[in-house]
Amino acid sequence: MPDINAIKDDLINLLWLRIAKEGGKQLIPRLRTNKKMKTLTLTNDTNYNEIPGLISSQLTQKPHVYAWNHEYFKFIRLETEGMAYKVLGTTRYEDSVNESSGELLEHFPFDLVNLDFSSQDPESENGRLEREINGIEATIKLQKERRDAKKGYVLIYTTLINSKELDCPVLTQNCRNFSVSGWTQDIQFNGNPTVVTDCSKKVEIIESILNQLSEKYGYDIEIEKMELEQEEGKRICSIAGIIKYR
Amino acid sequence: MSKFKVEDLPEFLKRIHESQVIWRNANWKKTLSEHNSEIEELLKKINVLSKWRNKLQSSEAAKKLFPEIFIDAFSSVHFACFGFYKYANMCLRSQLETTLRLVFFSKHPIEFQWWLDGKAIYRDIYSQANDVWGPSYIYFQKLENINKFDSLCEESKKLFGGGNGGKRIRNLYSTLSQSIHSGAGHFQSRPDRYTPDYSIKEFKRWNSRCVEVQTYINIILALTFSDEIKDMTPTARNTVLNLGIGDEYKNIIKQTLEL
Repeated sequence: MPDINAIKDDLINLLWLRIAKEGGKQLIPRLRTNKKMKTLTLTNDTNYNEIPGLISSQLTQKPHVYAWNHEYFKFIRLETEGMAYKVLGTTRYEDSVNESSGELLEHFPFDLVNLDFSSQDPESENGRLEREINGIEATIKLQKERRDAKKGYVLIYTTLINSKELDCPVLTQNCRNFSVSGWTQDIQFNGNPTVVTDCSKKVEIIESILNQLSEKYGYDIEIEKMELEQEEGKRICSIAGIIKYR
Repeated sequence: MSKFKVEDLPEFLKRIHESQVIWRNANWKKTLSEHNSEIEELLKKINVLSKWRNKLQSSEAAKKLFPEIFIDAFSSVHFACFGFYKYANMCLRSQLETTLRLVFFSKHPIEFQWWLDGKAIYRDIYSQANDVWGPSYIYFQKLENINKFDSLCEESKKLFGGGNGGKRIRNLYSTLSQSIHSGAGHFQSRPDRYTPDYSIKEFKRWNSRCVEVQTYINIILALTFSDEIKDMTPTARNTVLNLGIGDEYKNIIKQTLEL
C-alpha cells in the first residue's frame, strides 16, 4: 500500500508544480521569476512539500503563502514549521468557504488554490464528495467576485475516490444554491444517474462539473488529471487546471 | 535578530537557562516514556474540540473563545509533561471556565460585548456573582437539556446538581481553583524539592482531572449546542460521543438528546 506522503510527492512533482509553472507563465507573463503568486494550500503537517516546491520554482514566496488545516494539533505543527505566512483553519475548508462571516473570505482572491482534501483526513461516509464539490464551487464563485485585476488562477482539486455513493441530485441542488445572474441551467450528467459508486465514473463527473461551471462563471479551463491507487478500491485523484476569465 | 549564545547571557539568566534545559528535558522525556499511551489518548480527546469548532463557525463567541479553550488544554499538557503540575491544573480551570463562558455568551451577545470591552457589569446585575453567568451555576441548571441530563444521571454522576459525589463540575472547578489560590496540598514546590520534578502520583492526578475536564466540556457543548451535534456528520458525532464524552456518559447524552 503506497504511503500517502509518497503519493502526495508524486502529485507535486508530476502534476501540481508543472501546472503551477504553466499557470504562472500564462497569468503573470511580465515576471519571469519571483512571481509572488498568492497561494492557498490545504495541506498536512507532515508533508507540505508543495510549499518549498513552489518557492524554489520562484512561483511564490513565504509572505504570499496561506496554509490550511482542519485540526488543532496539525494547525499548531504547521504554524511551528513556519513555512507559510499564515496558517488558517481548525475547521473543514468546505464548511468554512461557505461561511459568510469567516476569516477565510478576507484573504481572497488567490493566484493559486490547491484544494488537497486528501490531506484533511477525509471522513468515510456518504456525502463527503458532494460537500467538497460544493466547496469547490463556493471557491470559484468567491474567486470571481473578488478577482480584482487577476486574469485567472491555478486550481488544483485532490480527493480520495472510493466506492461510497455519490448522490447526483444533491450535486444538482447544491449547484442551484449558487445563483448567478443569467444562469438558469442545471448541471448535466451523462445518462442521468441518481447514485454513482464506480470510481472512474465519479472522476468523469468531477471533470464534467468543472467544465460546466466554466460556462456558469465565465472562464476557460484545460484540465489535466492524475490518479494514483492508494489501496484496493481507493484512489487519490488530482485534477488541475488554469482558470482564465473570459 | 541577535544570535542566541548561552555564554553571552547575564549571570542569573544563564544560571536559570542552563538548569531549566536540564530539568525540562529530563521531565519531558521521563513523562513521555512512562505515559506515552495515556498522553496520546488524552491528546485525541482534546482534538475532539475541532469537531465543535467546525460546527460553531458562525458563532462570534466561538470564534473568539475556542482558540483559548484549545490552547489552555495544549498548555496544560505541556506544563504537566514539564513537571509544572500546579500550572497544568490552572490551565484546566481556565479551559473549563472559558467553555462555560462560551455557552453563556453564545446566547447573550450583548453581555459578550460588555465582556470584550472589559466591563464587569455582571457584578452590578448579580450580587455575589463570581462570573459572567451569575451566582453559582444556577444558570446552567436552568437550561433544559442540562436539567434533563442531570435528572437521568444517578446522584453521584450529576454535573451541576446532586448530593454526595454529584455536582461534578462544581467540585472539579473547586479542586482546580485550589491551584490558582495556592491552597494547601496544591503547591508546586515540595519541602524536599524546589525544581519541577516528574512525579508519577502528580501526573496521574493531573491526567485524571484533564480527562474529566475534556469529558465535561464535550458534555456541556453537546447539551447546549444540541442542534449542532445533531447536524454533525455521523463520523464527527460518533467521535464526540465515543472519544470526547466516553462510555460513562454517552448513553445518557443520547437519551437526553434523543440521538
